[in-house]
Amino acid sequence: MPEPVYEHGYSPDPMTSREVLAWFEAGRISSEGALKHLQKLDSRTGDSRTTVRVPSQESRRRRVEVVLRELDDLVGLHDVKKMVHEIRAYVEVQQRRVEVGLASEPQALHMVFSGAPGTGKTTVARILGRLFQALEVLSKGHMLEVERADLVGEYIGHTAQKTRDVVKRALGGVLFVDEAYSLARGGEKDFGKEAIDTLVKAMEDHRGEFVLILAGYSEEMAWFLSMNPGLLSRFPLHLHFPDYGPIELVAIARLMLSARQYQLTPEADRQLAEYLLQTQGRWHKNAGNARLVRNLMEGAIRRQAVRLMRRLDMASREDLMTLTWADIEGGL
Amino acid sequence: MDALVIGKPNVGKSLFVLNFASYLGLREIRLDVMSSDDRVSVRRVSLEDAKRKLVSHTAHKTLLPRRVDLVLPNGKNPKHLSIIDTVGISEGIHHVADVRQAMASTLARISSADMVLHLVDVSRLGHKSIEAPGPVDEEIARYAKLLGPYAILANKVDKPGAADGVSQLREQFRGIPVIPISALTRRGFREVKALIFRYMG
Repeated sequence: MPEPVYEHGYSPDPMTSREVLAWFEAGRISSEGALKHLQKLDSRTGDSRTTVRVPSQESRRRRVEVVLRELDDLVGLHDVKKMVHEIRAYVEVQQRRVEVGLASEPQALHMVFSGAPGTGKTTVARILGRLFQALEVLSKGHMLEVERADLVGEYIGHTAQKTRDVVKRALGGVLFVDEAYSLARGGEKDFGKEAIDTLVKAMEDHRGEFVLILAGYSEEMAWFLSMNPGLLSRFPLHLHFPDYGPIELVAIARLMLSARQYQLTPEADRQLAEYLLQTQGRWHKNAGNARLVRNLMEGAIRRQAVRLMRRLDMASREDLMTLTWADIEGGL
Repeated sequence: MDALVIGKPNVGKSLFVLNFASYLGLREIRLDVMSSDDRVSVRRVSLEDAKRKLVSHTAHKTLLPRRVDLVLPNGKNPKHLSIIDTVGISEGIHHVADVRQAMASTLARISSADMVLHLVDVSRLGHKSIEAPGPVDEEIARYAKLLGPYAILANKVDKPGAADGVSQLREQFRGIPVIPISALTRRGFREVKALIFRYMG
């Protein structure tokens, strides 16, 4: 019985009519699919191909650019952005090489993300999924975020099944394993080991059908990879997400607020930057970053509401939008 | 000229080919059986024998494309027509590798055919059975109409309820000639012959 997942999972389109027939014989594509591909590839229908292809190339470029713009709009993350642009260029060049018949390296796009919580790992993973979909590397481009509890089972054999199910749901998209190092924490006898082995096997079995991202704190991820030397070679791409600096955090605060139709008074803006600058280095490791600012701003929004309640009838549109330094300071 | 007879399993391709050959005046046919490595074995049989051997009610009776050569009288220049009977193309991914291979040999022939005659079981329109018109028929139509002469033969019009089917089919495949036929009773064969002759020039 042919594996039905091929129908929906990622596979690059066949390049020749002969390839279409081979895939069809192997049970990889349906009759309808084979006819569709033949229609595209047949030389006698070539005219229709060129007219169809050009706009689709156009729209592909546009979709890629929309995704990249979203990435570039993120605050900070200079190195991460650079890396993503590199990956994009690499993928497109490899695809072009295939088109002109040159040897192309098999694309291993599995990655390790290291960085503290709230430094944008999940956001970037989600964007990468959509980027790979636009580049036709992944068929769906969705992101499935899981952690140890989603992969590890309770009895022998349970883990492999659980992990395989997760992989199945991630096919065509990105599988994001948060705090991946926790899979190795229990030692040799722990089921986490089984989850790792199953993931590695799935990377082989579903080559090119999904992108696996292992994420976690920098030090723990380094330890995790050193414990599993086999893993390191399977993840060619390492992206480090540095903690945000005070200036970036203020920019994040502004973005966050403007998305909710709030704004800071110039005074509040300046004071916030100063506060963050002064307290830098004293933040708790887990409290840091974008999440810290978000909590601060959410608190400020509540205090502003309390402040306005006293004279709500007189509050102007401007008043309703503006957060003062006092609103923020109340939560420090 | 090669006319490829194509369609889903059990729509009556083999019966059509044999009865149509008989209609065109043949009593005995040379059966060329093409195997997948393009080797051809030849047998001479009467049409009656051929029908008994080759036609059945079960799907995928025909597992190799089969060619029937006809010489049509045309004054001093007799015309040569080969009708190629093919393996039925079923929906989705067939679970038997041999059948997939056989269907692939059919798909491979579409682009080199001079003409494509696409048989549809018009009495089964809207049904769920294997021979009922479905997505595969739409894809065949989309592909074949780009290649050259192409017509849909709405087969089994002798069955009850088929009349409505023909008009529905014409609606669905606008711009493509749809000829109602019955491979069994030979209805519509005159129109098919006229169409083929027109394309043979």
